[in-house]
Amino acid sequence: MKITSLEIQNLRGIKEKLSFSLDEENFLIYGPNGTGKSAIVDAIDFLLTGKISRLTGKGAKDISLKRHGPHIDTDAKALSSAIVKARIKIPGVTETIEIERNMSNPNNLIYPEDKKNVLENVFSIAKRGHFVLSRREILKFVAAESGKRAEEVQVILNLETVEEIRKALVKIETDAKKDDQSALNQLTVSKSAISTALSLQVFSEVGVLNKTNELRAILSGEPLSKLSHENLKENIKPPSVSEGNNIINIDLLKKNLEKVKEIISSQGEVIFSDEGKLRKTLRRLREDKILRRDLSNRRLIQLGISLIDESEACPLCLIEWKPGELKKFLSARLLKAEEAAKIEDEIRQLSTNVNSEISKLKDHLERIKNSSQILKQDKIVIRINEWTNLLDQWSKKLADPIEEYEIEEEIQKNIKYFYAYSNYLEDLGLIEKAANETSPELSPEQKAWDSLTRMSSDLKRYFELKQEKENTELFYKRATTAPREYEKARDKVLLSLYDSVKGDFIKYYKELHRTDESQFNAKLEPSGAGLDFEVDFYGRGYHPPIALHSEGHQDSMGLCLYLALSERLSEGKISLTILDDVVMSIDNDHRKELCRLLKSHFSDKQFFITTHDHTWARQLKTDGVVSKKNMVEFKSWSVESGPSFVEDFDFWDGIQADISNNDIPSAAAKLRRNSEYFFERACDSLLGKVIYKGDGRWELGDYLPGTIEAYKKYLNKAKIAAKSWGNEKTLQGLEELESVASAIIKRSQMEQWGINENVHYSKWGDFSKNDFIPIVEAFKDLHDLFKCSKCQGLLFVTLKDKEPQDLRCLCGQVNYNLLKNLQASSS
Amino acid sequence: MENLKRLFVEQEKNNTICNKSILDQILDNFTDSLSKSPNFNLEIAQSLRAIIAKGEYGDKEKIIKLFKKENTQA
Repeated sequence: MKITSLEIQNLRGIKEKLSFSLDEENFLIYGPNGTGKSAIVDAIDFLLTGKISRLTGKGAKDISLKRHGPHIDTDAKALSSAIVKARIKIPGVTETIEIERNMSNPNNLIYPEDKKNVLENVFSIAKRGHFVLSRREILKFVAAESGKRAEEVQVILNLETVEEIRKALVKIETDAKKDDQSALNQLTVSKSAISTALSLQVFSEVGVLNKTNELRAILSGEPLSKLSHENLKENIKPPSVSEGNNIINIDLLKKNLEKVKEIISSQGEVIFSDEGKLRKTLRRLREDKILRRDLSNRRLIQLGISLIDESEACPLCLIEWKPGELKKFLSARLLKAEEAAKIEDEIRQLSTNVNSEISKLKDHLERIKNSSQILKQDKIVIRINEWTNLLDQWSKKLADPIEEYEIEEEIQKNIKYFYAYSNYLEDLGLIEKAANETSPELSPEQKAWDSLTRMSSDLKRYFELKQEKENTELFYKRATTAPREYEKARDKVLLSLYDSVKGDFIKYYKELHRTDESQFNAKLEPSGAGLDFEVDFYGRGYHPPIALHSEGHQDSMGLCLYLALSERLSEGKISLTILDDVVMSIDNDHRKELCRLLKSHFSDKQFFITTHDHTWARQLKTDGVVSKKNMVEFKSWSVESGPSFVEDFDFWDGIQADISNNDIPSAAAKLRRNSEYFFERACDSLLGKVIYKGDGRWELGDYLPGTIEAYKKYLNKAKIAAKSWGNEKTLQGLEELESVASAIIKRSQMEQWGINENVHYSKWGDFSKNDFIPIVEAFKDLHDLFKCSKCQGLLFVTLKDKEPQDLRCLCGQVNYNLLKNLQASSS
Repeated sequence: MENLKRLFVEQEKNNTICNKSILDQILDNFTDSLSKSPNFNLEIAQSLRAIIAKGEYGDKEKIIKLFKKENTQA
């Protein structure tokens, strides 16, 4: 997406309607601070995102979009007049599309209904707002700590979702573990109940089948070959005494009563002992904050140790450590984390042990309670009911001990009551007595029939729980696999992403600093939850960007990293990038390289640039990054009317205006000043020679000869090369150019006296229009000689191993080979 | 030849980085390795991917139901 035209009214510092025609090309607003440049950036931000990022974040607590977004004089009832409109061009759509947004409903982007699909696609990316780069953002990348930088980079790349998904999968893994333990407990209880009913020492399906066949034999039934709850009474007849509602199986009741007594007497001490250990271990974990933190950071610490390199800096916070100290420190933390993991396992094991016994006890009590109801032992039923409720609550807390289990001393006192109230034996005795008195002694056939009937429901429950356990086991295995595989996939993709970002970052930075850091290298690596960013310092090892590099170099790094990231963040949908006053610490030489970088690598992008620096504005134009018509100079600002500006930056127009006003001294001063600046840069681009001056004050007269001499030299070299390659057409073109250039140079030399600074300023006052116009024309032709007529960029010479290769411009329209055909010359 | 090679590299870069989101790339890798893991199969791996891609990864019950689904292919 690129902007074709922009219209803003009543927004931030803009009062009267402003209209700009961008024509999908780069656009520049320059002018002193406080003239309203940022208001334009805010307006574009608002149009594309519905927000103004400058009004959010730290220190913006009392700031609201509706109150501080519109111009201060905008009537609160007329917020729809605070408006931004644009015509935009989207690849694949022939016509431009008009979009608008106003402050009465900031969330609503207004656009033609038939463009909904195409715009939603683009604005899903645009609303992230990462097309604006200010110096504040640069510092986020360069000066941030590793963890914070990772967050910033993840936000810009829309990676927060990646982490949210991982957390969701880990949460499911935790749930699966609980489910599996719970299923195991229930299955154990079911096995215990069946073993008790059949007097089996150890549960096994074969043992249950054998006991079932013994019962069937009493009823003259054939043995079963396969255990199933459905066929236990297959092909056998019920005994003559039918089963009554009030008849209980005394044998089974006695077995359950004995089992309860046995669990309490034989397992009681073990359970109390395990429960005591559980609380003690839980207390240790809960009171040691570092232990808990280390437990959750265990994997991060492991990764941190593996990432320590020769710099001995912390891979997360980048703080330097004495040799070996960081590894020692992290190893100690890891030991503690391993200890924490062991403690966690121990807690889970102890709670499972206790819970398993409690669940068994509860199950036997439930069976006794049912018999007690038949026996109408109502008071005892109430007491058993309270007992099973307490056991149930206890069991639930044990299911999630780390979060739920209470460790206070008072709880310990209640545990024994939970486990068994003081006169429980008396109650159990009363139940047995009531059973003996009210229930007749059953025949062996009746007992066998009754046992098979109960076994049928117990086995049904057992097979259901067995299936449930298999399901939870599979669930747990899947839930454990998913986050591990997800993390592997994430690391693989992010490593490759960071690697490609790093590659582009290094490439851009080296181009920007080819004169002083041509061997530059960098590391950009994910490190646990952080993102390490270290840069080479003149071949003397890797260090954080802020450690040794100057502020200007840091700004270059931030800009290059952003440009490298921006290739990915827009997903090919947003071509617009706003550079909001981001080069203030970068010096002139590197700004020139930046112009080349923007033109050569980002020619398909639309840069919207703001700056308070006139020199930078001039460089952007001279190097063809911004065309004359797409430059606006903000002069001043007033609250009543907003910015006042001029859209004409071309100094030739300014000179013409001065000549028209008969102000020749101003025109001559403009011509000299701008020519001095122009030829300083042309001389640099053509590697021209200038006589050294200790005071560093070179003037037009110093730059011109070196520039012209270099230009002539390269034209000559190009001619020799063209001849050696037999390229007659190029040779002919060069000869014509040489002839034209010679005439222009000669003419300019003749007119140079007119603007020579040695001519006293006051003498220009004697010049007439007619005197000065030929001088201007000669110099305009001379300027044009060193520029490309298509891209307006300066011609420059490319070098390889200090040898000139080509004389060319950025767009490639001018491109003369300077290397002759060696074979041709040897033959 | 060099130009052609560069063009292919650029196209590849655009396809994998610009046109396909990073999350999509992660989910592609994830689905592929998950479908090859023991206890998983292509159907379950793809269903999980669909849930995540729709932004429904916060719907725990949906994923749990899927994870508890009987293996029909594995």
